[in-house]
Amino acid sequence: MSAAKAGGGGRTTLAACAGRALSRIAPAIGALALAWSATASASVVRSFVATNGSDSNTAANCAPTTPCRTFTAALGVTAAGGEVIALNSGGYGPFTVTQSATIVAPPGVYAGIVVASGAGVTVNGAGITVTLRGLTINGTGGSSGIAYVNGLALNVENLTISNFSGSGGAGILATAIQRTGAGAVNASLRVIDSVVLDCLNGIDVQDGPNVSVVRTRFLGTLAGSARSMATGLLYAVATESDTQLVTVVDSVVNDGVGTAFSVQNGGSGAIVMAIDRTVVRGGSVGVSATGAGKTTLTISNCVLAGLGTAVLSQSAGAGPGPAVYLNNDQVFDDTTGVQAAAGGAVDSFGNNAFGKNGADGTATALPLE
Amino acid sequence: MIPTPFNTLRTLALAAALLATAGNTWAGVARTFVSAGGSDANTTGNCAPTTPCRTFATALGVTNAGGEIVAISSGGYGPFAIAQSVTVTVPQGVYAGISVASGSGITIAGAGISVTLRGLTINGAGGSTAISMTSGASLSIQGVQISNFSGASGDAGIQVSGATAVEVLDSVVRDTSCGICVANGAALTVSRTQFLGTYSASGTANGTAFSSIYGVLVESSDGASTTSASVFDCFASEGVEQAYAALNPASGGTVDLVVERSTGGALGPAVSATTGGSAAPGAMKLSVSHSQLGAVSGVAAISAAGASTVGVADANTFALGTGATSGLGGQVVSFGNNATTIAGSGITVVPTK
Repeated sequence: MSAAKAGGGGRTTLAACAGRALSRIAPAIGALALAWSATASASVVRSFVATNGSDSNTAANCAPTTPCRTFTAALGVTAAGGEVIALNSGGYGPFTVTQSATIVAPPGVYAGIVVASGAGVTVNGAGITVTLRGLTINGTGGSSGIAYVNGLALNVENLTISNFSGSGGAGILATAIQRTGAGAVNASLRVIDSVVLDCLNGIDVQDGPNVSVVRTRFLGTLAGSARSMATGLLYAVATESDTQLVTVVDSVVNDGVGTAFSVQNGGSGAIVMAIDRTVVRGGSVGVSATGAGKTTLTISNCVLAGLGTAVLSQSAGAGPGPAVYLNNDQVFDDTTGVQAAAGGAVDSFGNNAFGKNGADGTATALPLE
Repeated sequence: MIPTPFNTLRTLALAAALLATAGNTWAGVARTFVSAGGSDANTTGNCAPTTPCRTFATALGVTNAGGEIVAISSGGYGPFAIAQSVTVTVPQGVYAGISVASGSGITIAGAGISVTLRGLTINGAGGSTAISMTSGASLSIQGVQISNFSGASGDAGIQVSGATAVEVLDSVVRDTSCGICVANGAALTVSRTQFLGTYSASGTANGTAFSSIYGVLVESSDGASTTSASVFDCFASEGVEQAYAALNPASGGTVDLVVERSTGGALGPAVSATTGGSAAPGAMKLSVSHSQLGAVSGVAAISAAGASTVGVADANTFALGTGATSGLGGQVVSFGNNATTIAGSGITVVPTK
């Protein structure tokens, strides 16, 4: 089927040639055959890898019955927008994606990527959309599980990323995503149904894409007073002038994470962030919004419990600074409930449950509508 | 099995049923199998698990109405059409892909049929629709991945027109002009499903700035039918222009849309009721509750036009844009328990009871 797909373009062109003089067709066929053989190495919509596969099977386009050994080799024969599938459980090694692609380990297949140095998966291509599904990425000295360097969108689904806890370590690192002018391109990172374990910063975004986090767990290790994770989601802006969107839904952060969610706006654009139906338990800070830039952050239907400070809103110098809105949250058993400092604002819709805190703190009352 | 009289009777009945079907080898088994290493010549063996076929289309030909087709190894299986009741299953651990170079990936039409699709991955490569159903009693879609049907504004992930009960569960629709479009009498329930789109001001393939124009679109255009959708526990990313939308350009029909515990919006309205520019639009009734609805500057989190009423309860509208608006005849009703960071306009407040 894959080979037939590869020939599809050739047949179409032949049909287009049908009306031409016969003498022109023969050379056209020859040219087509050459063109086809030259492009056969990047022409299938779907390729496969297996632990008993061989990268020399690129000659057969990494078909399901003749799979390749590595994602790197399979990507080389896969058309833009195509898919690479792991057929059986094993280690498949770090790789770089420079084209739109979906890389899948189906449920029941364990596709591991051990990262001894650098990044496990590097996504780097202007305008590309990449989906990673079902992979397991484990650090053994590497710096990040996924490095999102460039691209329009990155979907991270059903992934487990662990042990990038060294200096600067990140489960997912997204930096300097190219935006060609205000609003021209809003790159997008979605992390869904995933687990991030023992990474210094679970998701580390520096002047990067819009971020959605859905049904994802950030789990660090607490040993004495030391935590393996500094931050669950760190969203830092230094220079960005465009509006940026961050959404967190149905997620969990445990006591091995210092600051569950940290948004820092030092840019001239607005950050619009929403955290909904999320549980944060036992770190030093639940949600921290800082910087002089405009940040509108709503926290709704969340539990913020056992923390040093549940919510911190703090501006820095001249600027609108952050405004945090609390709607239907449980702020429980924290040393400090809410802390608005140095120009930061915290507003409450009057429907939040504060209990057993050292100090609840003060929020500005807003009516429900 | 203990040989009770009842079981004996059932065994006899089963034997009779087997005899009855034995003469019809090309359409006589309750369960067939496909594999990447299979062959479509194996229809002579009824696509048995030890002699599987290669494609769903061929296996379907030897499967009884109401039977099952099971993919037993990972591979590509190609587009196919369904005209009978059937369940197509891809068990966990198997990846069954369908690449759609043109037209629809799975085409379904048949009076009174019930179809279940489980675990498939459907990827557009120039095609217009992943799953298209034009007649039938019911369609259940579970754990299906759909990507890349955004070449034109009319492209769709799941498109159902007609009086069909549709269920979509635990699925993902990425970069598709209309994620799930139901029209003209369909009744949709969609839960735990993600709609992922990207935004690019320089334009996307379908001619808009959004690779996904709608997450869910429920529409009545025939001027007579009631079309409904219930959305639970769904998520639409910011690159989906209108996450959950109702459209009723023709008076006479009705559109109902319920959105509960779902997230969407930011760059376009999370929930919208629109008329398609009609001067005589039909009725639309929407209910939005316990949901997170975003909007940036200049965009309404909820917009209501035409002969629509949108009831909003315990919802959270956030951000820089308009909280909720009603215009062009539509009405937004708030039950006074919504948290919004910026006020909407033209909203009617009705107290809870």
